[in-house]
Amino acid sequence: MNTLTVLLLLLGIHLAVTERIRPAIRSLAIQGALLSLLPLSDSAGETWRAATLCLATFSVKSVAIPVILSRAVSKLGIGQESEALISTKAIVLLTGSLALAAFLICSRFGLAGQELLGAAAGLTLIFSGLLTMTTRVKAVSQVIGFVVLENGIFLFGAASGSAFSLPIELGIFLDLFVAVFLMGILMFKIQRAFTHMDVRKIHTLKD
Amino acid sequence: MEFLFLFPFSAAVAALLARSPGQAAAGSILGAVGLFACTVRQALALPVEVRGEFLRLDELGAYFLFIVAGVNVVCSVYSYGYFRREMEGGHIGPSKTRMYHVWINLFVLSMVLVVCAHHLALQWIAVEATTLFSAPLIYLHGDRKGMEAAWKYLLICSVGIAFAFLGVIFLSRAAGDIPLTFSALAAGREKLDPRFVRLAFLFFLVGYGTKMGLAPMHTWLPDAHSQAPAPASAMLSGVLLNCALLAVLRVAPAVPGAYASPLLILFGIASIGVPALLAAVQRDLKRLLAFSSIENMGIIVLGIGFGGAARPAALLHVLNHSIAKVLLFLVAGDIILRFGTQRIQRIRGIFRQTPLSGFLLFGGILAIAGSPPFGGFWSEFGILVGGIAGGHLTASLIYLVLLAVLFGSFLVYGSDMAFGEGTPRKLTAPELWCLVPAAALLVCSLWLGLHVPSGFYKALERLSTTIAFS
Amino acid sequence: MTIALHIPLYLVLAPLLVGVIRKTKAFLSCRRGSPVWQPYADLWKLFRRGIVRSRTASWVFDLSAPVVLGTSLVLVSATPLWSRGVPLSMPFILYIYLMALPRFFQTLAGLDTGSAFGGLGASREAGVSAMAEPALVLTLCGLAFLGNSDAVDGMLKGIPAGRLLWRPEVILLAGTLFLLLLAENSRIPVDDPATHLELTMIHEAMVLDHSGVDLGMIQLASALRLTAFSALITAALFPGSLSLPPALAIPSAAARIAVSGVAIGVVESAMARMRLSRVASYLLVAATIAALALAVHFAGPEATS
Repeated sequence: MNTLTVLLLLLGIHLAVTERIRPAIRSLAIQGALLSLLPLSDSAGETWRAATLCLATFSVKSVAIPVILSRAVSKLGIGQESEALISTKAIVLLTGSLALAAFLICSRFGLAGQELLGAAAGLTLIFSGLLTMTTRVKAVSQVIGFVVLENGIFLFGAASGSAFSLPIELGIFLDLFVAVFLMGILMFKIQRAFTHMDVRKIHTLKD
Repeated sequence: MEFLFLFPFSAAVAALLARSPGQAAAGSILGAVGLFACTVRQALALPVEVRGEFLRLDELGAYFLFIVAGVNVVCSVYSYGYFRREMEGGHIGPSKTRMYHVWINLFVLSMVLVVCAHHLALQWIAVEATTLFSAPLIYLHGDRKGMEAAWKYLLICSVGIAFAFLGVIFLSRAAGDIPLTFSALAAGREKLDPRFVRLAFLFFLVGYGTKMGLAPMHTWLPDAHSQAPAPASAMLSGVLLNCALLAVLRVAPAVPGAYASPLLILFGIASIGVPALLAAVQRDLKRLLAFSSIENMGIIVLGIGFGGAARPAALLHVLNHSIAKVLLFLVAGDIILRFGTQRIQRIRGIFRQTPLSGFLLFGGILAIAGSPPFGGFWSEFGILVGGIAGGHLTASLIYLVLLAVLFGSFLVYGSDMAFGEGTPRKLTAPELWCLVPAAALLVCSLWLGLHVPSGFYKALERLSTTIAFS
Repeated sequence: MTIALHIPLYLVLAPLLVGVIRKTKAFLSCRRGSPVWQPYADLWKLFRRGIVRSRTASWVFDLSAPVVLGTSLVLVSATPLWSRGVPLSMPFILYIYLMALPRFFQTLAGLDTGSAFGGLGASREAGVSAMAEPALVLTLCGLAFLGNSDAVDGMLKGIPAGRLLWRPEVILLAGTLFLLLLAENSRIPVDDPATHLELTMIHEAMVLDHSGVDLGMIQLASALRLTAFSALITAALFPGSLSLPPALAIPSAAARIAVSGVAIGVVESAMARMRLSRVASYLLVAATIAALALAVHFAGPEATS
């Protein structure tokens, strides 16, 4: 469980730092696969529930969403560079500081041990997802950042031991899937209307 | 209770299978009327109706549901005439009009789910569903501005709702073994872990507040509400914001008031302040109305934060704002359609050229600015009185000043548009399908301004105790 | 006796490591390559040659090669390779300074010759090692906390045994050490040791003007430092291997060095050299991971169960 969490954390750092889009999508898929192992390690539940959750997580986070994103990248002819508004070194430093801040915050709240690790890793993913969404230039990167944010919240929830009944969990996954699906469709339309995916230039509406 | 869901769902299916936009619109209208009738019937069967532990319609839910159903009826009647005009003018095609009806009915379905949800996580799913079903409405026209608005809407609201989910996680952590239904949380409020409850409320406020349009998370609202077609903007401003508000109100009984009130007052003042600053420089009519929505949500949240006598006034303002805002968006839609532009500077002298529309627009602007004799005045005044009585003197003073500023801005805009000098244009005849619903809403607002039934106000006071902080 | 074998063992294994790396790279590029013992022959050849020396160089240049070899020998005598005991028990801060000292002299020697490439290599090397410093300090701090000792041999002795998968911070620290190995010892992706284009060199350009015995000493010193790093990494990952009886310990040390040689060779073959401007981000990432390993460690003793 700890190794799983640390791997997720490393993948999160890679996602935040990488300058190309395809490796980011690959990391996202691996992250989804690792997250789907989390319900299995929670041995206190019934096996049916754990197995269904594992399958649902895997199919949504590791298969469906990366497929949507890579189809967007290949069909839309978006370049591979994932430009950022601040330099890569700054992003690395920020991600590192945010990770340490996450650990500090979680320990302040009296969490300890495995729970602290999971919660801090989740919080780091949340922060780095937000960082990606706000500092990246391409619309695809914003969607990737959003999915990282959701992964972080999932990890955080799993670490805090919050358990919902199965239909609710499936509903949550469905929501996430439809959200990313809609974003994918919107990206297609944006590319056709604007002929680029640079969010700095999509700024026609302002006061 | 199942019929509450059945009506919008079957209207969506009917619109999908319909062969013409007219049929789709007819399906919408029938579905809306059915939903309204069902709501009235459920309201009479109160106080409580439970379906398992997930769905429950109580008085508060019935109040909000009544607003949803009523606005839905008005907007569906309006949309028939509106889209007929748009298709005649070549602005939109028949298949897109059909899809509008599909999406709008699914959207109404998700809002009904939000209102009836009794479990915290189910409510979250429903609120996220409202975002997903309303996004296609924003880029319905398929132009650049619509795309941009829809992108910002989808992204910012999804992030906000993700934060609200963090709040759900915190609250489930705080609750421990207590099930996450609202009644169980309210009953077991002493047993909740205080640190996590406070964190949870903060995240709920920020997360659902993004959906509500509270500053500083409001940046998506002016774009989204100005780019969507008029009836969709009316629904977004008039009912969706209310549903997000309801999501925050439902958790209130579990949260200590000493912690929640200052937060709410802060967000409320910020949400009134930002439109006060920006309203004066608006050039787009619907954008101006969107900022007014932000302002009114801020007023409501401020009232909830003040507590005491301001709370029933805040709940009344929910109704008043919905009526006036929907009225304004509907009239604005008609005017924009006939004047051919959304820019305020080019819309002048409406009253002279088409008296009915001008009268409705000016009346609507007065209503939304909180001027007597319309309903908004009493609810805004009630919040002010409640604030002073509750001892929040600085906040009330700031509130009063900001209200005055906004009143002035709106009055200037309204009188310029209605009575100003402008080049006369050749206008098409007014569309009765559009103007009659708007006129009905103006009458409602006037009625609420002249006389609030005391039984109604007593009911609101009863409701406000159910959302009182612990 | 065990202490006396320490330095000779290093001297034997260090060129072997270089040979294994070269052989692996050759194998992965479908060449047969030079035999594994070729570095021994190279060193033997170099130590019998005379020195060609620039007329404008000063005593600093003369001093640099022996100082480099000397400090590297002191460094390896503090690094456990095959047993828990080492000739010199050194606090890790001194260890880091001892890594910096040969680099300092090499930099000065590079500048001393007055050639453009010497200066180029020296400034780049100084920059890379300056950026690698935080990562190095954090990593060794992490190992110190983990092993509950501030001496290099002590921290490796103190790493709790247990299944590797269940000790994520050890894996993280070993990973960071590997990244630093590549950076400090001028391996791809930081510097290509086999390039002949001087403008792309970092380390090689700096030592361009050394020849004969001096060059032999510097090459031996680089190999020794590479072996020291590999010893650190493998001892951290497999702490049990330090407690083996002497008969098994020496073969195990050789095996561990060979495995790390193969690993380095694989990494070098799989990647291309990074642009110099990217090296800073690379080292920052290493520092971040080291800091994270510390944070994971402090998440509590229960976290590492």
